[in-house]
Amino acid sequence: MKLLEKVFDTFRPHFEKGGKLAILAPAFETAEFVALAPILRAPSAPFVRDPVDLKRYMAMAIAALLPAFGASVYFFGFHVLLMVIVSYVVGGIVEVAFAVIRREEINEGFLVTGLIFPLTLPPTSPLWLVASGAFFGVFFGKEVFGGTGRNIFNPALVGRLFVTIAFPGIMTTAWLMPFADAVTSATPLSVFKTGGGIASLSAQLLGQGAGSMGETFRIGIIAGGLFLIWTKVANWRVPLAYIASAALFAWLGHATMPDKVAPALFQLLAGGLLFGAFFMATDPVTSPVTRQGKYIFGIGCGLLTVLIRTFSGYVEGVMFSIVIMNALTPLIDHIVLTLKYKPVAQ
Amino acid sequence: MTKSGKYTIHSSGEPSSTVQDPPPCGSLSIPLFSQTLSFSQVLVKKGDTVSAGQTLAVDPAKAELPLVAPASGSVEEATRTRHLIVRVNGQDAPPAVATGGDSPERIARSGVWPYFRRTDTGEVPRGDAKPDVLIVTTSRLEPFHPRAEAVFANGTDVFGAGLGRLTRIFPSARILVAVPDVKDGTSAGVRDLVKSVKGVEAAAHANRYPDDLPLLVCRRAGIAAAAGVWSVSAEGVIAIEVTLASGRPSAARLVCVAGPGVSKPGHFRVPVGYPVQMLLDACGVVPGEVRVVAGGMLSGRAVPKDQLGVDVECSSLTVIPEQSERMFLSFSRTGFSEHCFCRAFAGVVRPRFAEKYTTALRGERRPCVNCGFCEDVCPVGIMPALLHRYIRKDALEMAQRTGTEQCVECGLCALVCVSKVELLDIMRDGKRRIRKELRAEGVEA
Repeated sequence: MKLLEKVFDTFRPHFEKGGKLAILAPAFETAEFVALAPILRAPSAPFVRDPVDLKRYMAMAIAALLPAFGASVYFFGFHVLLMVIVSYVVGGIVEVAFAVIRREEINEGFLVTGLIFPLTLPPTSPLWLVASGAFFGVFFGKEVFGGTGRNIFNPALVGRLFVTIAFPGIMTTAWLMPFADAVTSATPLSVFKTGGGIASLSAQLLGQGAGSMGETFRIGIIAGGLFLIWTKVANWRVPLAYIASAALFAWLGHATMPDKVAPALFQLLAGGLLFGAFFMATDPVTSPVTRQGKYIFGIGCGLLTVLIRTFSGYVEGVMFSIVIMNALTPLIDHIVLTLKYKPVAQ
Repeated sequence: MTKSGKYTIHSSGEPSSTVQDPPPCGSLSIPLFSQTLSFSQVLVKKGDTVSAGQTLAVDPAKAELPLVAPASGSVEEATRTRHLIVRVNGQDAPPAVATGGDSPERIARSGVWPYFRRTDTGEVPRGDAKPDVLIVTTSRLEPFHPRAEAVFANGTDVFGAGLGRLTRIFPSARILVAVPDVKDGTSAGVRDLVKSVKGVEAAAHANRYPDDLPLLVCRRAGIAAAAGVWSVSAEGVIAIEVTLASGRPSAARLVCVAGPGVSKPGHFRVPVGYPVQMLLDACGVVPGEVRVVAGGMLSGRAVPKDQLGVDVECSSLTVIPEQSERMFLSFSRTGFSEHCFCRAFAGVVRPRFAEKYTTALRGERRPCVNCGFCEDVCPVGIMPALLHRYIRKDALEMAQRTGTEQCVECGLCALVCVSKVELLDIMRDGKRRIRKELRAEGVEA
């Protein structure tokens, strides 16, 4: 530890004012504080603090994603790792660039975005597509709004939307069955939409179907999501509202239009709904602050997901529904707050 | 899913309940200040002989609130160090405490007025003010205020007499005695006693911080914090009773010295002016830098380095080691001996253990990420994550509308904050500015 401190002490002058690499000070500081926690003391009451910090908070989120990530490497091979590495590198470069320009510290938020974004892509996505999506997502989805804590949209979803709209050809044909090599396959949702019936329950839970990399191993997603809720990193209101309302609307739709709307259980287990409900809709920065607002957000996501899946040209509605509800989040919070808190008489 | 307010810390350094006499000391360093008082008008000079109970200085901003000599002696130093250094001469001559019936003036002139606090500002009220409501706290649950077992070590009779005297001194005040809701032990005895005193009501609260806070007692009783709503501790009631019944000043304060930074934490009965360093030495401060805090680990204030003696508002000194370790890859540690509100550390599997806290921030400052922990832990159900943004942006009306004035300053929000935002400071600042700018309360009433 002392040796490590000495190493950092030796290099630090280069990154301080007047040093040759002073402009990269945020990057050095980040590296140093990841390795060795800084001496930072509570300046005033409370004089002791809880041990969780943003690094640990994000570490919990990454830990919860590991089952889904591990399964996708297992199902789809080494290319998955490359995609994740590219996503981290490109996202990291954007993050560092902005930290340098703003002269602020590098925030840990991109560590989760960098893992979630590739997991929403089909497994054979080319690396240049991953890179452009990661760049677009971090740059336009987060940094232009002011960085961590200030963004309106989920950056991973912004990147996903960009590649969907910019490269529609690749995005519809890059789907693969697990363990297959090159034969592209239709996803269960698209099979249903073209009249081909529904997939089996166990196939959907264990990932024996085509889909984006992270969504297939649904047992792992549910386990990771529940872990996240138990540790309080994700709130329980949004996933509950999302899943329950999607099930309700799917059930209503299937009862009235059985050919157009898939049954509820299939819908819940198909596509990225579970992944979105647990890992993306729960992003605390882009979902409402108020409790009632969280319920409204979840219900809105559920409704929109079913609507888009049924009535639009797209097969999957999760990413659009979450991003649309992200846009409505400030309004939802404003309405809830205005209704809940009346002006105070002086 | 947790109910609000249901998180508190378990710190090492818990003291026993025996009240000790401190090592003898020949000279007192009486601070001419305390947390909310400033005895700027000094009435004695170097070389004067003073007797116990004599007025040494007054705070002119609080209707001439006096600083009273805790013992007889001669003044060695009066001007240089913001302290009055008095060499004690051991004379136990009957003091000059004003005689007379039960009256608020007699409390003030005896030097025990600073036990009272206003609930709206946390300050000692003016010496000529009277309370409409008086909350008597009997068991402060924040580490490390004096324990109820120590306060009531000699039984509850004096306390009962004191309560009765307060009903006579402030006949128009409603007196609520806050008692934790426990089945056995000291507090159960206190609860029984309160039933027998006429003119006071018992107000039960859960045996868990911050439910003991006077502001929460008020809230549960439907009373709004205001200039006329005061609180006083049980040892304050006892001190007032002892002083007025005997005619002698209550020279000694019960002070609890505890925390992870001392190896022999304990309770002491010390006179105002007793040297802080001697108290710390008696408790065995751990090696290395420490922070000494008056008034509780979560909501108190650091004792200034230049404060030499115990002041008139001090009843606890919590010693916390300063952070000195730089952990390697700290975010990946298992954390078996660490409590955490959000269950991100392995300590969550252990039933109950005392943690060796330090002053470490345990993370770097980041913008608020709306994790919601502050809202989960808040005992009054407001949203510090939202409110601190309004306060920082000077949107004071929105801050007021969304409940800033309900804040009881328990410190739990800042305790659990993932981004290490100084929420307690910001909430205190917001409350103060709302009071000044929106309610236009300029000068203290």
